[in-house]
Amino acid sequence: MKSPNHNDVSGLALKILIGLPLAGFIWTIIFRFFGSNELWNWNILIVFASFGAVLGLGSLAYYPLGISVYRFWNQLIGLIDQLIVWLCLPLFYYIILTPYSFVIRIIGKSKFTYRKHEIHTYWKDVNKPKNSTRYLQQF
Amino acid sequence: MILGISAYYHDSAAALVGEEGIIAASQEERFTRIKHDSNFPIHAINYCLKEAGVSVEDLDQIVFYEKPLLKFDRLLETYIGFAPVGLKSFIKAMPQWLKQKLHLPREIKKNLPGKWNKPIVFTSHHESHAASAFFPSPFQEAAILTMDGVGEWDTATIGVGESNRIELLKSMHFPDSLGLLYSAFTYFCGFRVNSGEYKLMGLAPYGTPVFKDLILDKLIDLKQDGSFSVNLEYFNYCQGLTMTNAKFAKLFGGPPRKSESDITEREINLANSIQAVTEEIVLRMARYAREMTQKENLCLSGGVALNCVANGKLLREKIFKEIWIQPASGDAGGALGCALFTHYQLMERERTPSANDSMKGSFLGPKFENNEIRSFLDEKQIPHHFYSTEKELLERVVQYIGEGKIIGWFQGRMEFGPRALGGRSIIGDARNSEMQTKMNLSIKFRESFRPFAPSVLEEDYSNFFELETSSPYMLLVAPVKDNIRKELSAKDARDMKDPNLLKRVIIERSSLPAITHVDYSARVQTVNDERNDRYYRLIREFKDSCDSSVIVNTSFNIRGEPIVCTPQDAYRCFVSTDMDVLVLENFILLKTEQPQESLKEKEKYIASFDLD
Repeated sequence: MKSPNHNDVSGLALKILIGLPLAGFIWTIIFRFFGSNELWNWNILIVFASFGAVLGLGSLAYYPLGISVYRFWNQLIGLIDQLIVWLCLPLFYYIILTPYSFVIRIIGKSKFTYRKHEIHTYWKDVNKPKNSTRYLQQF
Repeated sequence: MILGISAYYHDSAAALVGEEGIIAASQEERFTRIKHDSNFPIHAINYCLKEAGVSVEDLDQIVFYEKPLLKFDRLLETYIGFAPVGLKSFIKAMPQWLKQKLHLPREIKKNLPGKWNKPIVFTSHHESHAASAFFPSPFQEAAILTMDGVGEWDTATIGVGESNRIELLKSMHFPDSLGLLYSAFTYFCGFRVNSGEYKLMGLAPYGTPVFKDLILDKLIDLKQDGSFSVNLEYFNYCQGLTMTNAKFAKLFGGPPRKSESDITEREINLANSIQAVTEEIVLRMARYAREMTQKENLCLSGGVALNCVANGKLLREKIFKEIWIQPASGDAGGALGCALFTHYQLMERERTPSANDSMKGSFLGPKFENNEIRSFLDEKQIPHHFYSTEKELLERVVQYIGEGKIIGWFQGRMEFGPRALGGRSIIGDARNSEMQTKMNLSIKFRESFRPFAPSVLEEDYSNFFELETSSPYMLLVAPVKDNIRKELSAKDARDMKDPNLLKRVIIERSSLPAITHVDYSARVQTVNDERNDRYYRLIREFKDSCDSSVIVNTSFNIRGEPIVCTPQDAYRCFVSTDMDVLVLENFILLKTEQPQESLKEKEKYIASFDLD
């Protein structure tokens, strides 16, 4: 990981300072409306905001702490990233893509079948662009 | 002014096109010193803007060279075609797509060195290639043939260019790809995909096409019009992390060659066979393009168009009256193509083809003035000699070449594209029989079998090569003339069967042994005054002094290193290799005068580049 500069550290500190209380508030709302006792539990907001204040203000006030927080934060993101990659992508691949793939192959619509001698050319006509606005599209 | 960008696959690049034509273009690797760098080309963009003296806000359009969502569609369809196989490839590819490539407008705007609030233009991959082939060409109208690995879905296209418009008419789709077929053999022979294809081409003449029929019978179904279908039972490139599979290995008698291990007759014959198949396909495609478009001239682009042996055959077949090949035919050239497409076709600017072409000799990169070089040399206290007149400088350099010295030649603007054309070159005397081995093993640190290319005066090329047209971008291979060939002795004939390729390489086959390949061919660069400026005058001086108008020209780098860009890069390469002389514009540096401590960096320097 590259060494963070002052802007990186202060940017993250502000995000934590503002973002964690906001996250705490959202969780408070969730517990209020979807929890079992239907009460406002402000402790959630207080815990999140306290963390945000300590880490955010601490990072702004004391640069070495800011670097540590920055590194920890990025490692946490990396961990979450790996979890998504190694959990979600295989699940998606086997639960969504694979059954669909079987169906496509069973009904003979796969584009990856060797078609030796079936046709006289493999050249295909190119669809003419209808207008130049298609060049503003990514497809 | 239009900025073209290619990025996020391999060979990121930027190009800037204005009313006066192509202003600047460069690959990102030259600045970052990472070969085939695929990152956002911020350095290349900064250079292009600096060259034109403009900022991002002054641009009329920013164009990306392919359509990312179509490419993503192809990826997903491929996984659907092979699931449940292919998870590893899926996991490797998806994170970058989800985080970056699916949000390209955001990514581009975020990385640009300025504010850009207008939309980004997206051309298709092969439109970009076709545009890079036709718009800079000297033709008012021409057929266009593009061939590469894969873009979105297309792997090859046939089109037509007229005045300021191009139109693609036919295309071949993934997975049927000539580029990927060639890359599969590159991989199987132990070379790196997307960079080792040249090595396979250089290896081919040592062998015979014993596997050609097997390839045509088992691996592809080739039609008369050059289109073909790949038998995916033998390949792994759709769903895996390798190009070929166990069935392919069984067909060719064993597993793929391990990188850096000995090259056997099998690899040599495989190289020759796939080269023969490639030539056959290219010729058939070209004939079909001619028949379909009825145009006299042909423009070529896409990675396969860098196969100069096939290009040479195509030229000699006389299917077209004239052929023009984009010198940056790989994906880097896509940056130029998409910018030119937007300039001419979308913005409807008038196009007047120039008699040579509009590529400015492909010298589209940075240039360094004498005062900048002097500052660098003085600051580092590097011993040097300054020559105030070009005549004195050239006389001295020619003297060194005549003495058999190897020269690092750094002049003018850097080349755009993979070939060094006399801007960032290592040069030597083509008549010197030890030159090829010395350059390969002590300068470039690369495989002994690889041939070197000649630079020859345009007015003299027909004296040495069986070539009917000029070849300014070193993209045509031609046989050397009979009158300069040498007969092989009985010992030479025996050595030609020796498994050690070095023995075959050192056999003198002509009076220009350093540039004559084993099959008496050479990858020719013709040099003229208009395109090549001082480099032309150097070879003229060499001719006047040594009675030879041919010199060896290879790119100024070592194996795995991008071609040098700055005087600093050139100096590092110079002191880390066995080069004798470095010419930086009007300065000459001699190896014997360099401080010992700078020469000690050799090992570290070589280790800093991954072998390609």
